[in-house]
Amino acid sequence: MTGESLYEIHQNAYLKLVLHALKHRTSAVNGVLIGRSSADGSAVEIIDSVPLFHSQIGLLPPLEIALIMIEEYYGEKGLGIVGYFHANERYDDFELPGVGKNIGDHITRYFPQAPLLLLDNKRLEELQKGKDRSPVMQLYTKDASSWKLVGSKGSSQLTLKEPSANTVLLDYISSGKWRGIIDFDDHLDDISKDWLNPGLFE
Amino acid sequence: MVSKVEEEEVYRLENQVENGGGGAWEYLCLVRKFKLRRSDKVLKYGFSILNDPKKRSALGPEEWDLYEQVAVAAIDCQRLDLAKECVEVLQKKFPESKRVGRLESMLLEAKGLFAEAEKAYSTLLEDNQFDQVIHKRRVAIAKAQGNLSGAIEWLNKYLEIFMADHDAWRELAEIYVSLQMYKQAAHCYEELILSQPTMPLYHLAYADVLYTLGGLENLYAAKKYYAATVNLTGGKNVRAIFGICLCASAIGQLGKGRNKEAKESLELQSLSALALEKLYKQQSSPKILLLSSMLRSLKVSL
Amino acid sequence: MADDLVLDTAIRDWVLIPLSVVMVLIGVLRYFVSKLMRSDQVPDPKVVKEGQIIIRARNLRAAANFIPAKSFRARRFYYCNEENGLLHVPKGQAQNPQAQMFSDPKMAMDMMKKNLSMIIPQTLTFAWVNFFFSGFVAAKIPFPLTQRFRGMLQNGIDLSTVDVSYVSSRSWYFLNLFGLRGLFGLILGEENATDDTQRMMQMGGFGFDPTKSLGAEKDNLDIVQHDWALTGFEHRAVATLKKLLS
Repeated sequence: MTGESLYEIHQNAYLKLVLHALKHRTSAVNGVLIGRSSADGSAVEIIDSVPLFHSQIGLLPPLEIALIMIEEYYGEKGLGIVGYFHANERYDDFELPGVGKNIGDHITRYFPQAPLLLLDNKRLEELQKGKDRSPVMQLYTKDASSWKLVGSKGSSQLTLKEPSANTVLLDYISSGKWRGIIDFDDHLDDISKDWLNPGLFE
Repeated sequence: MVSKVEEEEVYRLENQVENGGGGAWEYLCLVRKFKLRRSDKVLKYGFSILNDPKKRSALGPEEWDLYEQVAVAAIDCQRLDLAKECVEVLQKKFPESKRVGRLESMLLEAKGLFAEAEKAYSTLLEDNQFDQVIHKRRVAIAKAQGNLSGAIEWLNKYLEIFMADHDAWRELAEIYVSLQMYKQAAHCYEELILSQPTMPLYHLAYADVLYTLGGLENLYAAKKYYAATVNLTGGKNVRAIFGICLCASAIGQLGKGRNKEAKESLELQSLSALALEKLYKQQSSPKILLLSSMLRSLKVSL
Repeated sequence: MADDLVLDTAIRDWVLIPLSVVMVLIGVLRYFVSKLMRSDQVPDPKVVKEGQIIIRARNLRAAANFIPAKSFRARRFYYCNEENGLLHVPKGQAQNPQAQMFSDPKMAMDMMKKNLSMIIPQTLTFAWVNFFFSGFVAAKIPFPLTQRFRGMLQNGIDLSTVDVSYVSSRSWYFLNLFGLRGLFGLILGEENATDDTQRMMQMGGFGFDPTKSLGAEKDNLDIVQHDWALTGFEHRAVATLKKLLS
């Protein structure tokens, strides 16, 4: 699938992913993107996201549980898993790990245009100074059999639906909002915690 | 491992200290004793003690322990200026000490001067090749540079001598998992189970790895280890119960036709499903519908 | 006769008390001297490694039933095979501690130092006590004792008519030498007490032989019957879950 797609990510989905990565700064984290594609398949709307894990990303069972639950939940609303998000353990590591690629491969089997997003720590840090209005993530798309980084001039692009999202993000970072985010790991440790994070942005 | 009571004690003291109730020194002692990572707090309260000459001298010889603790915390928080201050004080007091030398090398490491730090550690090791902390720092350097295979190599070298150090085995297991080398990870978890057979965590992790490896034989084994985890935790571990359901479902798919499923194992999976429903009903009622539809899709019928 | 033997108070002031004080002071002094002379002992890598191997092998033996049979067999082979197993000690390589001591001069040196710090002050004080205080009856125990204690309490006095509850000065010296450990514990801190008696024991049965315990561990491991405990765990899990559900 070499489709050139436009990916538009909603503010809440975006914030959840970044805040999740900030909560677990010392480990790799991941999450899935929830959304739908437009009728002609040229655009993908990422409406929500679910932060998944912050420890032992490479293990299958928790992932399977999470994916089944997420699909069940969003399937009813007509949404599905449309992509994968990963943040590396190390600050200056810009390489997509094998685990991420494998999970991405798996998702593309059901949703061919699925993107892989990798958190860009440098740009996240530079947010403080500049007025960057684009998401602080690198976009990877699957090209034939391998994952390719899409540059700023590539045909596929990732954009934020609300241009003010980064300002909101900075605000949340300074107010320590990331402490409250709950991922699937937390849910499995204590099922009374809700991975949907209702009430986080209120 | 920190027991529940001790953990509560730490939390209580932490709250007390945060609300200005005193007891900072006791808190720092506990953090050091249990090797907790509370660097920001250690830095804050430790430094305030060190800056107060009266409090500092009241500590007696433990003053130097505090300097070391604060230095490490400062390195962790990237407050290299403060770390340097502490290390310099220690250097003046113990000019020839290897322990201070270790701190200096850690400072180098924190600055990102990995090659220099590596060299410093090597010379320290020449003097005492049994300094486990330095061996582990070398692993950490390799990891910090993203050189996971290097980290594995160092860890293996370390484990060749200190082969009873289960923390090292655990680190090695986690690195293997992150590299998707599950067979090797399984070996490490076996080693961990051997060293602490009653730790449910290791049984669970081993089962997870076995499940990830796949294959009928591994799935059967994984299910057994999930069952062991359920036993050891008294059925409180949701991951393990989910694991049993997953295994049962996967075995059902793979082992089609071969109907050697014992009645007992059928009972186990339906009981697991029931247990999950009960736990969710008690603790997470909004998700109960989701759970039942999930169990249905796993074909673990009640 | 025992009743009419009265000890001069001068004996207390000039023999009993000085002797005790000197013994304590010498003990403290010796502690500091031995602390100065103690060299950092770097353990032999082989010994450390063998200790770790034994811990690990012991773990394997104790928890063998918790890992699958295949994993257990692989590990047992790793430990016990005849070519390069960890627990396998090639014949003839097992060196006795005596030879080890001669091959490592540092070890002999260490022992010399230890002994010097113990023997020299002991001979000196003993000579000193003998010279100045021999023949005194220094103290009296407030209860009667049988004849058998004569050798212990009246060393240096060859009079069979003196009652056994009298203590000679030389015996008082020996009593102090061995009995002050508790006091040193108080003065110098718990673990710092110079413990002569223990040291003497060490000298006798010097060193333990790790190669021997390696061999023993290997034999133990060889006869372990592997019986995977996990097969029963599903059954027990059913019980656990039933309990949870009820």
